[in-house]
Amino acid sequence: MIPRPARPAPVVVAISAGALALAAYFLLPTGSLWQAWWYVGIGGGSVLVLVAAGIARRLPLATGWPLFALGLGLFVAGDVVGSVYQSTHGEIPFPSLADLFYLLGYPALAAALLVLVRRRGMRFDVRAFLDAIVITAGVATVIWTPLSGTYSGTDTFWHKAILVAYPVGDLVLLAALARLIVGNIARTATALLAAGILLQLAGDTTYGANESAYKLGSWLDVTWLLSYVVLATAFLSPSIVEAAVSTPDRRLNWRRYSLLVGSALLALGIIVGDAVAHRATSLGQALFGTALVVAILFRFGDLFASLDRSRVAERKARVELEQLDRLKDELISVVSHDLRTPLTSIMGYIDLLREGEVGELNTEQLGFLDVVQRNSQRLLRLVNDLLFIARVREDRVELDLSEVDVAAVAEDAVMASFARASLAGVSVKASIDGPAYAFADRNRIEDLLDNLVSNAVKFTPEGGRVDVHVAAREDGITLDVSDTGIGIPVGDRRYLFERFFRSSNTGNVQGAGLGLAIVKAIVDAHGGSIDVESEEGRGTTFSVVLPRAA
Amino acid sequence: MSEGPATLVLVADDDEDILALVKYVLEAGGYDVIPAHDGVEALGFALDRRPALAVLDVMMPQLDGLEVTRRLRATEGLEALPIILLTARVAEADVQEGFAAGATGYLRKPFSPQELRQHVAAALAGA
Repeated sequence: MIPRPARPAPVVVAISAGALALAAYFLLPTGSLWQAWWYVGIGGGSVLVLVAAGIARRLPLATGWPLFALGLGLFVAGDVVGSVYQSTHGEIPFPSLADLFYLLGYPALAAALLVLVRRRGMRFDVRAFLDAIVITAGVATVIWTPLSGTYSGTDTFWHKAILVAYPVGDLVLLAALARLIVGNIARTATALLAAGILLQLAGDTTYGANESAYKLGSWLDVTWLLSYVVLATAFLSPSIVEAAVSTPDRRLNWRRYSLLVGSALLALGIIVGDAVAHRATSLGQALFGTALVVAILFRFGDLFASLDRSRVAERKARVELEQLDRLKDELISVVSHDLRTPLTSIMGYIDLLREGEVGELNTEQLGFLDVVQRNSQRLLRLVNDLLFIARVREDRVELDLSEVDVAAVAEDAVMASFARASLAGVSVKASIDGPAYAFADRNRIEDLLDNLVSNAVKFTPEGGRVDVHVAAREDGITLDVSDTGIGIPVGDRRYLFERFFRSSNTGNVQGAGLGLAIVKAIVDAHGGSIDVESEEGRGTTFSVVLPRAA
Repeated sequence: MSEGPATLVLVADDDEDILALVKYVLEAGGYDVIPAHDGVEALGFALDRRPALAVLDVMMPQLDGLEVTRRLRATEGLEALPIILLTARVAEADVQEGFAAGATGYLRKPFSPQELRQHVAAALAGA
């Protein structure tokens, strides 16, 4: 069995055909009409191949293929005009209609490159467009002096303008190419496009360096002809579609650096060539200018790359945040519903048992049920706290505001703490100077006081004291909860109000680290303030100020 | 309660244990209870049996309690049926949504038998 040879890739076929056509070109009599029209044939054939590929393979418009075809078509039109002159007059006048076609070709190709740079999903990348303008303007500014000096000898304004327009066209192409190279991952198609444009620029530059030496059929034609072939071939590579639609690789790797250096060296070529050919005032000026061009290219290349990197990172971070947000919502719903439902049964049936609905219970049985009930309530409290903290994080704390006597709430909280405090051997006392009305959510103020008082009791050793003091003052309702407890280490104070934070000296005292986060959230939601003073081993005082009722 | 038929209460909850709990508490209070396990069943029983009160869980499969409430409110003869919603969704906005759907009362889970009795008595007295 002889393995069937794989079908050669269209790119290889096209390049080979182009190479054969080029070889044939140089076999024709130098400077002959045959050669002039063969030249047109290679260019025209390339444009036809490009258009055929675009239509037959339904290439997306994002590849810029119609604009590439237009740009190359304009160049070929210029070639046609030249060949017609060659046929009828034997030489091409200057300026001529050919110059118009050629000069229109540059912006068309540059626009095509920018279309390719544009990424899918973005309507029009204004930044990329501006970037290209910045590069072009920067480079043009730098080379303007040598250029204007160079062409000052030419007679009419239009002659000068057209002569200057060619290197400017080259620079526009160069700028667009630079943008393509810094913004796109290196692929076969991108590499072919870059090579095609660079060949074009190389041809122009060499030609500009010594116009008079050029004759049809000189080796210089290789650059332009090959440029046609290579540019058209790029659209035969399947990777042209990827180059236009996939997210580009943002790293500025060595390959792109070398392409950048290559294009920068071309800028050098353009300027030095012009300077030598037209005896510019100073070659040094051109060299320094080129150094500037190179610097600008690299600077912007890096700038674009880092900008793009940060844009990608930002987008990624945003997506991750959104995912986290969704996760949080799900967690809240689980906490709220899936934990509440079993708690409803547990607590409901315990209540029924304790009510004696299904038979009287003895003291020990009731005592055991009390333990179950107390722990269910603890669990419910944790569920509620988690829900509250989640709401705080979502900025969804709802306040049911009314006039609330904080002093009365404080007295209730102190009373409620008696059982636990007496077990712990801690005395709790409320000192009240009459009613103190705040404009607040009663339930939340109850939570706040419960948390502060039970915390104080929890962290105060046997024989200690907890004092709750409420006063109505000019600037608001003040609420101080002081204890003679273990205190808070200095280093822990800045994290004190963070969720799930537990101070390093809490030992085996139980807690989830939510209490003070909730206290802070309640105070903040009311537009109040909270301060803490503490000395390790001596005690802690939390001072809250709430807005007065009007 | 001995004279005449006992007051008929429709209770719907997809959680079997809570359904049994509510049923037990209400039957102990002298009511007759029609248990339903989802919204569709609850709606059917309400239309067939015409209870004096409905106690509906909010989060149920098929039809949720809010939707059942809306449909009952749109049914001739049931516009004024007292409806108590039971729910694990405790935010103020959820409560408001319940009342907007047409509920007479709103009981947050977990609730004690005592709270349930009070709500039921209040809803029936108001009807």
